[in-house]
Amino acid sequence: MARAQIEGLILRAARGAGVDLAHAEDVAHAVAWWGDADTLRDLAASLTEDVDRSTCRLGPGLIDQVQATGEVVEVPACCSLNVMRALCAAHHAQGGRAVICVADAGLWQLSCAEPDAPPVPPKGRPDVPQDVVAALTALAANTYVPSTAESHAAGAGAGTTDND
Amino acid sequence: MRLARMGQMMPNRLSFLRVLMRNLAEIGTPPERRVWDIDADGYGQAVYTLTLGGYSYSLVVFTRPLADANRSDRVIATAWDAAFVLYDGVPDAGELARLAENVPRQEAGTFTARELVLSRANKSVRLFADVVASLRAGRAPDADLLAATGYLMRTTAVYGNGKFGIADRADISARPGLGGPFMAEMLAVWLMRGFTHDLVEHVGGAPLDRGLKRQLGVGNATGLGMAPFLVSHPLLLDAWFQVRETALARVLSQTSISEAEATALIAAAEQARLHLVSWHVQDTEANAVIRQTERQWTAFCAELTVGDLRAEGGLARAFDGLSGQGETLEELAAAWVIEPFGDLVDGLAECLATPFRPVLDPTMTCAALRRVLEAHGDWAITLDFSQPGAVAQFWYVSEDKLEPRLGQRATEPGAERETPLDTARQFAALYAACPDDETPLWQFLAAAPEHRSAARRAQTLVRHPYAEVRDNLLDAATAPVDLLRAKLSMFGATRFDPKSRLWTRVTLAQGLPLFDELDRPADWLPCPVHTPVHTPVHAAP
Repeated sequence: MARAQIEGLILRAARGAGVDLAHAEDVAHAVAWWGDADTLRDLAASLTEDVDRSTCRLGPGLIDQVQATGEVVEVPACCSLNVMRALCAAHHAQGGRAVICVADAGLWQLSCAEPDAPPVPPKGRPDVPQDVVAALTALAANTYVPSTAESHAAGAGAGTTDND
Repeated sequence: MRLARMGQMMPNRLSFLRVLMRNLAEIGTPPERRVWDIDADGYGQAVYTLTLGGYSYSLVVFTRPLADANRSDRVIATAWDAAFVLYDGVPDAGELARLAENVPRQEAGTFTARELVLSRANKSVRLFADVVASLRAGRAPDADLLAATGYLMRTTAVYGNGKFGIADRADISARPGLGGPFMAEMLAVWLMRGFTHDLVEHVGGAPLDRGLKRQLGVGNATGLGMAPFLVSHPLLLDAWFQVRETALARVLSQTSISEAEATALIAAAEQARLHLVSWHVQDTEANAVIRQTERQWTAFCAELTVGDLRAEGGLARAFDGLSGQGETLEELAAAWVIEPFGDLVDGLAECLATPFRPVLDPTMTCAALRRVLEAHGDWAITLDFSQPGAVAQFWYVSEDKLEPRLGQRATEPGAERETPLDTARQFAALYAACPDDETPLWQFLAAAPEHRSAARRAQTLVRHPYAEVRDNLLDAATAPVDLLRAKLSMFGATRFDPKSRLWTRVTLAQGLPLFDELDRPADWLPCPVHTPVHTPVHAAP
């Protein structure tokens, strides 16, 4: 899959799972462009298992907090470190204050880093496991509205002949 | 930018097709037809290859018979007269076989990063048949019919940037000539147009007059799918309008212009007049607007003189004289006035793309964010969303081949799954919820994450004033076709032909150089070789 295609799928899946729009946007962009197969698997699991405690719900807000306060913030155990790392990389690459995710005495923490050159996203396409695609596709379907005869007939271009 | 103005925009020399043609002239080579395996009826496959900035790109085409009953411009169609792919490089026999298996299936096919753009098109049956019959009979095609239609085939989708597994834009955006927005898509469209010329000559068995051929572009039917893009790419939207406004400012800040420039302006104004004369649409209201503009513009042209334009401040005076006469005329003037000043404005095309996305500033206080909303979001926070009319419509994606649709909230199901194009409503909700105190924004958003998107978008407006469509897209009066026209004009589309408030037909690449004319400057607006005399559908008010 293309990375833009993955981003679109994650965005819809996260929204379909009930994640707020900005968080869904952040995670979709970060995981699609900075993640690998493991990151995608973590993301799909967190959206399908316990969305309230998922990295999608918690991660962007934690980065906001670290960036604003300069505090060191512990990453909750329910969060995926792969997804957190992707969020940090994407945040830095977009010009945000550098936030890093590091291990300290067995705990994972977010903290501000010294200004550095923004990271470069990985090249090529990630290998997306089929079961991950299936899980995300199922969640994305929650954002689609079932078609009815009325909505079909009222769509753009309906009712006209295209044999002109 | 308000919808009323966006819905009247016109293409200009910074439109993407025009930028592409300059790139092709500067660093491209003419397309070469490497494969032409098309039978007498016009069915088979063809490959065209050109180079741009040292890279080879090929348009691969597959055509097949299509029953009239299956010819539909809607996204939900599953078969087309022609299917296209812009391929990265030159396909060998194995790749051609793979493409033949997948490209005609479009959304249902399997694609790789070698495919840059995916598209399909249907014939304009009547014009195609007429031109073929004329060529076979050894006579000139009906110029009136040709001018009235403007294309032999009409695309119903032009997919790029990773859609259905094709290449990401990021894969090619650093290449010479393809860095601007939608450059690969525009390249595919221009090549498709040349293919339609070759196809009709092949089936007709005779060459088409070069002047007539130049006036045949590629049609396009565009519906709701294009509208969400403008909302989901705020920084890109801002870049497009920043470029346009900067171009206008540069041109209008000249205190005097040369005789050649004044002469060119008068020629461009006449070109626009002829274009308006030839532009007729079935929609009564839209046609009345065009006729009114034709009259206003004709009167304006009659007053233009080289001397007046060359006088100190003359250009700005002429431009200002058109302001206050409605968005349609003002938008035409904005496109016209920059036309002869390529040296001043063409370099701005480099700023049409942006790699950035909006970033939240969580250090702001809630009170400061409220001041931002008051200063930059007044168009939203003053609206009353408790009124049914303010939320009458909802945008959604249908399960039916994921076709974007617009629903009526009061009568149709599905509003709970609406696509979040409700920026105005989000701004109003944020303003209502955000305390007017020194609470750090990050803290407020941690407790109310549903407002984070609106907060980020509002902050973005401080440095990117054109990042939002400054209207309520849920309002009963909002016409999606206004959004479509704005984006299509940025592409360089002409002859806007709205078929309803939901969709429009347009023509792309009409009047642009042919394959063997890369050195020929592109026309701003197409003018038929023979301008037909029409009877207006309705008299303008």
